Amino acid sequence: MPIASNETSLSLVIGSILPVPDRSAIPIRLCDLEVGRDARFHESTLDAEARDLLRALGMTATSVVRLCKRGEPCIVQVRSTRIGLSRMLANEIFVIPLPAGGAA
Amino acid sequence: MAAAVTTAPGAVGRATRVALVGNPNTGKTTLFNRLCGARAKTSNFPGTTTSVRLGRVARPDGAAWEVVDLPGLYGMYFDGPEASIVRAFLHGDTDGPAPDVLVVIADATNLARNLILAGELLAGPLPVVLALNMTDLAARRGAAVDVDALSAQLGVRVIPMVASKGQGIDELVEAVATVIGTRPKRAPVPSGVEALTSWADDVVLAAGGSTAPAAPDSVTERLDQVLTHPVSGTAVFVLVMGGLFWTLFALANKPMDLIEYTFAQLGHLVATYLPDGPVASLLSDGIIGGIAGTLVFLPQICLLFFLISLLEDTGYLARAAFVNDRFFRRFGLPGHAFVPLLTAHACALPGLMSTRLIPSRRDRLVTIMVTPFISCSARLPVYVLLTTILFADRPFLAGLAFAGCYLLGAAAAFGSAALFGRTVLRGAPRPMVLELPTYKVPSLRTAFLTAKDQGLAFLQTAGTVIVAICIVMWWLSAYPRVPDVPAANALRARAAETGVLPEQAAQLTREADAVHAKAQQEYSIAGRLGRGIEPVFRPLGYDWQLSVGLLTSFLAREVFVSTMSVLAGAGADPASEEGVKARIHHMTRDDGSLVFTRATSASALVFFVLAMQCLPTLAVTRREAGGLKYAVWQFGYMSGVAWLAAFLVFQGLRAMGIS
Repeated sequence: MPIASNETSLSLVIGSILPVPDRSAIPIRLCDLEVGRDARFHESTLDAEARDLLRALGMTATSVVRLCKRGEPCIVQVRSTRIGLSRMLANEIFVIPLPAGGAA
Repeated sequence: MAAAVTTAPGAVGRATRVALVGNPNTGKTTLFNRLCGARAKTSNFPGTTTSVRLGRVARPDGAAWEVVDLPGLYGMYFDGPEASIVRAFLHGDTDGPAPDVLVVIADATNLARNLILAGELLAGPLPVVLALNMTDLAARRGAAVDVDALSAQLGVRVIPMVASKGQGIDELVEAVATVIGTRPKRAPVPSGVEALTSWADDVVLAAGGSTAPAAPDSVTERLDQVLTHPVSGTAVFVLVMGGLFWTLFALANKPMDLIEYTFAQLGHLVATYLPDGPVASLLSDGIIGGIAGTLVFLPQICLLFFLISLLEDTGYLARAAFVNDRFFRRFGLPGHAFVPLLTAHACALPGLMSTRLIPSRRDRLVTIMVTPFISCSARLPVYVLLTTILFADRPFLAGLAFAGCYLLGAAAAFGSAALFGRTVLRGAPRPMVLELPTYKVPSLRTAFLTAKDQGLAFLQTAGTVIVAICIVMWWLSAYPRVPDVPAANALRARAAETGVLPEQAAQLTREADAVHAKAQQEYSIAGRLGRGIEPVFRPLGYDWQLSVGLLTSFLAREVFVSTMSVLAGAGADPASEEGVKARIHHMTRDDGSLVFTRATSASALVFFVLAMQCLPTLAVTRREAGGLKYAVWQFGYMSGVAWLAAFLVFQGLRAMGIS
């Protein structure tokens, strides 16, 4: 029997016992988000000053973020606010991508 | 809707106070200008340097409203100077009473975020009217909401408007009139930014709006791609700034010439009709010269602020800040420093005040310390004078030297920022976060009113100091009067002898006047001060006269030309530019040699580019940086750098055989 078939069978067996993680629910760095894709803000490792400013600009726990431009600066849209972010900061913001084609 | 429980007048014996509150970039100032027009005035909040605009609205029933344009802020909870000022104002902790009505201006294209601040204000006791601005833009973007539903959700009157076109202004005024003196009963609003954000989202959804990121606007997307790109963004920035400065110099020249000509004529008139003596001398040399020396900068200052306001209104400046961030960070400056440094080209005072936009204290301090290196318009007459003396018959080289002054000032600012970042203000600038405002067609009306306000502010702050310095300088150089000058007397006696031709007599009298004026200068307090300070400046090639010029220009550099003009010779009008240049160019030292040799002129030019010579700037540095030590540090550092650079230039040129 070909080895590939054995591996496929094995992964099917394991998959039936352990739930396969939903890769779309894993937080990623904001700067790694696909341009034009919506995501839900997850957390940040920013200092209090930067966090407060972003919250004031609307980036709160429930907000949906869209990446408009990668690079330096990184441009995101939260509701109707366009925010320019240094890439250094975008590296410290984690978001969970939403399924393409609609914000939850 | 707001319910009027009582109708006690909000103001008895005083104008009703209406405060305009809103997020930045919501069109708050445009609305204020529509309400109050050019009659508004700018003043500072007590104990702060934050300016606030006050205006009056006369109602048909004879009542008057005082409208206050408060600083834009994102939230009352936010820890920033704007929030603390607005909190103090709303509690009546400033010098006036608390407002009677709040007009909250919300950007209709960005309603959910704007409602967070509105929610905080709705939780307070004051009657509120919501001005829903930019509804035309919201409609075009498919972000329109049901105004009645929004009003019902918030419990306040909501007035849709387009402030830039004057739409909705009358309705807003009527809505404000109906809520004056009412005690509103509104549904409770949650506290805390997270709860407020959810509440704002719910309100927008209930009013038929959306809280998802707005659909991509292709024009904005494309413009942002170009304007924030490292290559194309930098190219556009260079073009925009080049255009701005070209416009500045091309358009400001004519009114500047007109001002100089007008004051020259005025000085001539005074000299013609008033008898010779201290009054005529004070008027023509002191007061008229001083006022001319101040007013001459006004066209440039107004024009620069007009152009900056136009650029800001388009939404471009925020993008330019990001383009600059890449370059600025290499020198330890944040991209936020771009606006203060640009503004400082007109005058360091508003430049320093705009450093309040910089969130980090370390970044703010570095920017404050280096901003005065930027060549302001007060340095222009000195640059013109010294470059013309340096390259009298070579205008191209004079132009290059002029541009070099600007480059040297900017290089000193960036070099010093890098030095401070590695020594006394260690650390890297904070990474930038900035709201990128919507691209808009700029408002000429707002730009005009901004230019007017800034021009008046310049006249109030710098003008009074400069005129006072000119008067004091005139007195210092005119008194005590020299008792007798034998050499001048001898010349006059020769002129009076019989047989001397009238032309010869006139020439002898002019020589006598010059000798007398020179003796008067040496005998005066200014002359004695100059001789006292001369040893400090001798290594830079300066004699006592140039030392006096430098000494007085430490108060305000604008007075250098008029001081040198006073010292260069009596009789002529300091406001006449040609006369001034020629007189100063031909000034002589005690040994008869020229004061302004090539090496001395180059050394003085470098000194003026780098030295801290502005008392009002030091006062603003002390306030903005939060301590006298920063002003002392700035003065000491800049003066030290200027002296050292001027010394190197003078000694270097002499070593090369150029004197």
